[in-house]
Amino acid sequence: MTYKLNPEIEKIISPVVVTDGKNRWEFANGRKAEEAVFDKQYNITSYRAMGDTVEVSVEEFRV
Amino acid sequence: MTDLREDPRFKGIEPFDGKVWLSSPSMHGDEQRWVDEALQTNWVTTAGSNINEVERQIAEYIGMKYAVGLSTGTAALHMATKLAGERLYGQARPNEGTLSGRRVFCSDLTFDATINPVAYEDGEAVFIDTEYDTWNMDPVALERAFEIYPDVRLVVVAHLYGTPCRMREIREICDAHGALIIEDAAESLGAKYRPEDEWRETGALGDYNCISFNGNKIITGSGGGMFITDSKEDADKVRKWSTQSREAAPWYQHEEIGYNYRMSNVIAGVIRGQIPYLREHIEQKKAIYERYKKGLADLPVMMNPFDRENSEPNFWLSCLLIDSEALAPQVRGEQEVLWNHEPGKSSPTEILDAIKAFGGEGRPIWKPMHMQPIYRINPFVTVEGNGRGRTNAYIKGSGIDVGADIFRRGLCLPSDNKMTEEQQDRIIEIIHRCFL
Repeated sequence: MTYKLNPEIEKIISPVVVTDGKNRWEFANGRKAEEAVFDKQYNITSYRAMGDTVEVSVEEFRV
Repeated sequence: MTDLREDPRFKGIEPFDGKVWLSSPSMHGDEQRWVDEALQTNWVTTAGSNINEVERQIAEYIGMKYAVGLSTGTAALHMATKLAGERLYGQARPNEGTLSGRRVFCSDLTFDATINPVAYEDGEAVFIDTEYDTWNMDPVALERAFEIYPDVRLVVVAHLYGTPCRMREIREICDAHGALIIEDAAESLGAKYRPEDEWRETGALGDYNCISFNGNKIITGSGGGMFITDSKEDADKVRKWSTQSREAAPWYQHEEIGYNYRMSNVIAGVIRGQIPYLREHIEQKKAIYERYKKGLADLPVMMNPFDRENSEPNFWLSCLLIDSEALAPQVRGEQEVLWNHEPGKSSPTEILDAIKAFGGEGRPIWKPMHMQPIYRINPFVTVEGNGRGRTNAYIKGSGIDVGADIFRRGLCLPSDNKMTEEQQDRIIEIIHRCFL
């Protein structure tokens, strides 16, 4: 199964790092992060400014 | 009820951490985009770009000219039934259905939403028995039905659990008798069938065609359905009827009975986000079916069958049928069921109870419509002809009733596309233990 993040993330124009605590995925900006396809479904739990990068914390969603 | 987790046969099997569903929605993230767009642009109504886009995409996918977004698949079936009734018998009075006093041949082994629109339109459903090869309407029984009721001009067929019915044979019979076909493809979006040389999508095989986006379907909008057609006139008529039949007057003027059946643009947003994942869902459902088939191959059961040469199901639900000689005692009342275990045998209810005890969700096969209390007085036709009243105190009769037999021996297995292989293997092991 393939999944994408909440498309609101595309509004971030800064570089983006998405992390679930174990993995880190780096993107040039929010649009690139929005286009990324993951093999797990993640919900965004927080945004944090880290210098010129926005760190997006996610956690796996389970039914 | 016995706690099957305490039964020694199931020793060593752990319950699932979370529920393993029969078939639950699978959101991917794209849905949020289109729902947000609807909310942010204030198109929170039965019009908007999401509706336009899903109608375009589904019509293109199915290979038909028009798709009309509706609130449910049932609404689509009602609109299809009313269209057919008007075409065959003319416009009805406001307080009457278009099928008043008319009989309609209908699939028997199906969800009642297939059938109910016939009653909404004041028609009488005549149930056609099922064939073992596809678990769908038996063309031979349909032919018998036309011998008994030669005046019938409308047939409603469903593709059970995503498996296409024998539409080629059914079409030939209907053409020979001048009958129209309503195709209920609610469970089979994405399934293909080969009526002649070319493959076609289900939803493109009838004179009036319907699909569903209900919450447990192969793709979903939480709800929703569509009427599919090549006729602009029919598409426009359904758009009119489904929005309360408003005429082009400055005030609310009505010349026909209307319905509040149009699809919401918010719901359409969810569907729009789901459409790109339809094939992915089908591949997952197919893998689940194949894994069950392999894992259960050593048991006296068979999976729900399909015509491998002329059909490609969407594998919405995986089902099994227990061999007659391996069926343990099971008695069903109107709302309760009793079963008893016998070594080497099992029953649908025992298997469903066992799966449930460990956190899985299965389901009995649809109870055939001719057995439903509400439809018990409706005619029923089998390959032998009239399926009602064939026995008496002195004549036992053959007892042919394929739908009842599949209901008696069959069940739907957990078929959720988020079920892991480990979870499915555990389901397969539970089923094996039921036969110990």
